[in-house]
Amino acid sequence: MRRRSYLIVALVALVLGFLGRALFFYQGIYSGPEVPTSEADRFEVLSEPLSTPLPVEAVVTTILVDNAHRNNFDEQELAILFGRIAAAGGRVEVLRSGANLQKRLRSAGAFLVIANQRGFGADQVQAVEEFVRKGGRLLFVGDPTRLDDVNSINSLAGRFGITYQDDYLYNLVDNDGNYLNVILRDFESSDITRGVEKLVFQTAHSLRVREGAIVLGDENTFSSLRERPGDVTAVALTTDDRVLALPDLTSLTGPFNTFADNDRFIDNVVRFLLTSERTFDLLDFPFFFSTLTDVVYTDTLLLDATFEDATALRETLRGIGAETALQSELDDEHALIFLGLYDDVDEEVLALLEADGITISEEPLAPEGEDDSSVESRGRSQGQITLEGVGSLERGGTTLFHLHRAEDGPYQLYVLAFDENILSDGLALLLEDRLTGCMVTPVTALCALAELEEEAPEEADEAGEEEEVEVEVEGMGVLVVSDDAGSPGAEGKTSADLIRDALSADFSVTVVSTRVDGVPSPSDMLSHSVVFWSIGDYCCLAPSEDGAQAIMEYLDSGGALFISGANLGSDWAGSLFFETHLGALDIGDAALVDLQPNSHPIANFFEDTIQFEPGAGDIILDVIDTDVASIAFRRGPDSEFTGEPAIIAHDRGGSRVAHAAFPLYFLPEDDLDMLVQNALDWLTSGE
Amino acid sequence: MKAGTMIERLARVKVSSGWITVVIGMTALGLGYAASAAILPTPKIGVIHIDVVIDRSIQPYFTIPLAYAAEHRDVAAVVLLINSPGGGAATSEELFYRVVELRSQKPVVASIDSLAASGAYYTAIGSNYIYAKPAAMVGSIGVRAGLPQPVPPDETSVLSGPFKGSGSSQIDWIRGMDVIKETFVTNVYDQRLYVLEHMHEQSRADRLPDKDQLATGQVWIAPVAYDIGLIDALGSNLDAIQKAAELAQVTNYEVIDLTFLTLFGDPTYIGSALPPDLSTLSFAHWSGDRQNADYLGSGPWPTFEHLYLPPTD
Repeated sequence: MRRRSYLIVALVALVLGFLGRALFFYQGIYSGPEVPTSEADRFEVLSEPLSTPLPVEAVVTTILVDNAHRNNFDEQELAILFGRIAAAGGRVEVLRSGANLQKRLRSAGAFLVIANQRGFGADQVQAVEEFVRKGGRLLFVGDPTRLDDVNSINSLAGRFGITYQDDYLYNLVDNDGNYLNVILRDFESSDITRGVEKLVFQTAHSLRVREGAIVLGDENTFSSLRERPGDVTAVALTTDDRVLALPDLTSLTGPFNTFADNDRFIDNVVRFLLTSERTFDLLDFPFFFSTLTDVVYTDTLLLDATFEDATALRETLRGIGAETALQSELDDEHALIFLGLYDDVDEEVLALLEADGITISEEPLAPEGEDDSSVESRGRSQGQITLEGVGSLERGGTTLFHLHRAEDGPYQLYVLAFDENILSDGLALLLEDRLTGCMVTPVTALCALAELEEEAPEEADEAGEEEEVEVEVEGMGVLVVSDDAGSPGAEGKTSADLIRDALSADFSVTVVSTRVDGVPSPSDMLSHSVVFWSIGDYCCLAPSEDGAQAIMEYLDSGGALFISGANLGSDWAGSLFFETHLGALDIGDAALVDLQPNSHPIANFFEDTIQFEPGAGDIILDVIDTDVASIAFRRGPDSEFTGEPAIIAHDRGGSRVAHAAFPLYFLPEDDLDMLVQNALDWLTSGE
Repeated sequence: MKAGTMIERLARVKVSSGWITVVIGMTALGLGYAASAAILPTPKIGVIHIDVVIDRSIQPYFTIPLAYAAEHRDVAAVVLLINSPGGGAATSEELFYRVVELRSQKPVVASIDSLAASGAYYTAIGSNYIYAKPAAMVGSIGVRAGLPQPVPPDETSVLSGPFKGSGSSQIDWIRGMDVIKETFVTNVYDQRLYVLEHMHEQSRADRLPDKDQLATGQVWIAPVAYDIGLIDALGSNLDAIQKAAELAQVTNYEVIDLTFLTLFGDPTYIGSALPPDLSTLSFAHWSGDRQNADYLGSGPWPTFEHLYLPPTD
C-alpha cells in the first residue's frame, strides 16, 4: 500500500514538474490558418486580336517631317509610318535644323510635327498657317514620354485650336495590359476614324479643343492632370479637317501599331497626309507644276532670245518631276507657262488677265506727285500695268508674272515683259526664287527690272567687268564653299546649306561644291565680300592641298574667311595654313557638345551655354588652342577639355579669319543663324 | 567510534514515511521539469530582418533565417522587421510563399519600420499580423518591367527563333506583366481580407479597397494604410514581438535575432540597421537612397520587379 502511494506521489510530481514548466512558457497551441494563395489558372493572359492595315491608294505628294525643333524621335522609329507613305507613292522629306521652313513648305502637301522640344518662331508659325490656309495638311504627334514641355508643341498647335495638356491618360479598368495603355472606343465620325472600332495608345496626352474632338476617353479614362474621369479628348481634327493632333507616338511604331485597330488608324492618318487639296501661290513656283507642262511662246524670235532661260526653265521643272513641251498655241486644259511681250500678246491672254484684275495699257503713267497733264512726264512713260486693288506701275522695263487657275483646272503661269531682255531677266528672277523683291500678290508679281538694269552697268563699268546685270536683294555677295571632296565623316555632311539658309534672306549667296565645281580660285573668292568654307564632318584631306593653298592666297590678298569643320586640326596641324593663316594650334581630339560664349563680337547676343544637337558627342573633334587669335567661344562644361577654344577669330591685319573647330550643323537653328550673322558682321567690319 | 558501529546505528534509525514522500515527490518534480525542458524548449521569438533591397543574389539572407525558424521548435514565432522598397519580383514572391508556409506552423508578425513597398509589402502580407510605425509608408503594389529588346539579325550568330535573342515579344511581355500584377493584387486582397475577417471586426474588412484601387501603385502612409486595412495596427517592434508571443501563446520567451544567428552566429543583436563592420557586404542595404536600388533591372536581361523607386528630381 505504501509503495503504491509513493508511486502516485512520484507520478503526480512528475506531471506537475512537466506541466508547471510547460505552462510557464506555453499557454496554448498555435494553429496556422489555411489561406489560399493565388493560382496561375485564376488569371487570364490578354490575347486581343492584332490589327491589320487597310491599303492606301497610291498618290504622289511630299510629306515634310519636322526635325528642326529638337524633335524627340528617331527617324528609324517611324519606319512603319514612312513605309506606308512611300508605298502609297508619297515622298518623305525631313526638315533639318537651319532649313528655311517657309521655302520647304512650298513643295509639301503635308507637314508632320513630332514631339518638338523647341517652339516655333512667329515667322514659322505664320508660314505654317499660310500653308494650312492653302490646303496643306498638318499633323501633330505628341507623347508624354518625349515632350518635356508641351508649350513647344502648343506654340504651333495652339494656332489651330489644339492644346496639348501636360498630362498622361490612364485607365485602371479597361486597358491593354497596363493602366497607361488606354483603350479608346468612343469615336466621332471622320475619315481618320473610318473602320476603327478600338484604339490602344501607349502613354498618351489629352488634348483641349473647342471643337474637332474625334477620339474620346470613356468614364474610366483619367487624365493625370485632373484625376477625374470623363471629358477627355485624345485625338482632334480641326481647321476644316486639315489639322490632326495625335496624343501618342509609340502607337505609330512597331510593335504597338498592331494593337487593336491601330494599324487601320495609321492608314487613315497616312491617307490624311497624302490627300491634301493643296493650292499654290505664285511664290510656290515651280511646285504647282507636277505633270507635263506646255511652254508657250508668242513667236520663235522670242524663243531664240530667251533660249538659255527656256532651258533652265525646263531643267527646273524636270527637277521636280514635271516634263515640258514647247507649244505655240494655248490649251486651256494643259498646265502651261506662257511667255510673251506686252505688245505681242493676243487678245485672249489680255482678256484672261483682265478678268483676273490685271490691265495692260499703253496709256502713259504719270509719276506720283506730277500733274497728269505734264507732257514731259507722259512722254517718258511707255504705258502702264494696273493690278486691281494694288495700284499701277510703269510698263516699261517690267516683267509681269501671273498664276491663273480655272476652277479645278491646271495651273497656268503667264510671264509677260516689256522686251526680250527684260523677259530674260525676269525669268532669271523667277528661277532664282527672287520674286519677293517685286510688287507681289498671291498670284501676281510685277517686277521693275529696268531700274536695276540702268544702275547695274554703271557698277559693272566701275569694276571693269563685262556688262552683266545681277539683281541682288542687297549689295553684298557671300560665297559658301561646301568642301565635300574629302572622305565623309560620321554623318557625311557639310553645313553649307545651313549657312546659305541663314544668309539668303538678306544677302546674295553663291554656294559651290568642291566635289562638283572644284576648288574656287582666290580671285573667285575675292569677288565676294566674305567666304564661308565648310568641311562639315569631312576629313582626310579637307580642305585639299589645292584648297588650303587657295585659302592662304585669298587671305594673303585681304580676304575674309569663316572656316568650320571637324578635322582641320587632325589633317593640318603644324602646317603654315593651320598655324599661321588660321592662327590655331592642335592639342588633341575629343567630343564637343556645348559652347560657352566669350567676349568677342562673334559671340554677341549669346548669353547662355549653347547645347549642341543630339548626336554631336558621337563625333570626335579637334581640340584647338591659339596664341595669336582671339577666342570667341570656348568648350562648354559638358564637353571634354572644358574651357579650351572652340571658335577663334584671327585678325591678321588686312584680312580676317574665324575658325570653328566643329561642324556648324551641330548648332540649333537659331544659334547657327545668329553665329553666322555675327561672324559676317565681324568679318566685314573694321572694328 | 568504530565504523561498523556507525552503520549499525544508522540502520536502526526509523525514517518516517513523510520524508520519503517528500524526497520522491521532489525527485519526480525535477524529472518532470527536466522532461518538459527536453520536450518543450524555452520559447523564442525570432526576429528576421527584411531591410535591404530584395534581390535574388541575397535571397539566402532571408530564406536561411526563415528556414531556421521553421525547423527549430524553440522558435515559437517570428517577427519580420521590414524596411525595404521591395526588389526583384520572383524573389519577393519567394519570400511571400515562404512566409505563408511558415505561418502555417507558427505565427509570423511583420513590423514595418519606415517603408514596406512593393515586394517588401508582398512579403509582409504573408504574415498573421502587420504593424507599422505611424510615419511608415506602405503599398506600391505593382510591377516594374524592363522590356525585352529586339535583337538585330546577325548571320554570324544564328538564333533558332525570333524571340530566342530577346526572350519575348514586347506585347507578350507587357501583357504578361499584367498577369503578374494581378497575382500580386489578388494575393494582397485575399490575405488581407482573411486577416481582417478573422482578427478584426467585420467593419474593418469592409473597408479594404477593391483590387483596382489596390493596383494603382500608390504608397500610403501607415495611418491611412491602417484605415483601409492594409496593416493591422500602429505600433513598435516591441508591440510586434508581444503580438507574435500572444499569437504563439507563449510567455516568458526569449527574443533572438535569427538573421544574425544564422548568418553571422550572433543571436543577440537586434537592431534595425546593420552593424558597421557588415557594411561592405555586396547587397544594397536600404537607406532611402534610390541609387541603391537602381541597379535592379539594369542588367542585360528583361526583368520584372516588385520595387518602389522614389521619384527622381
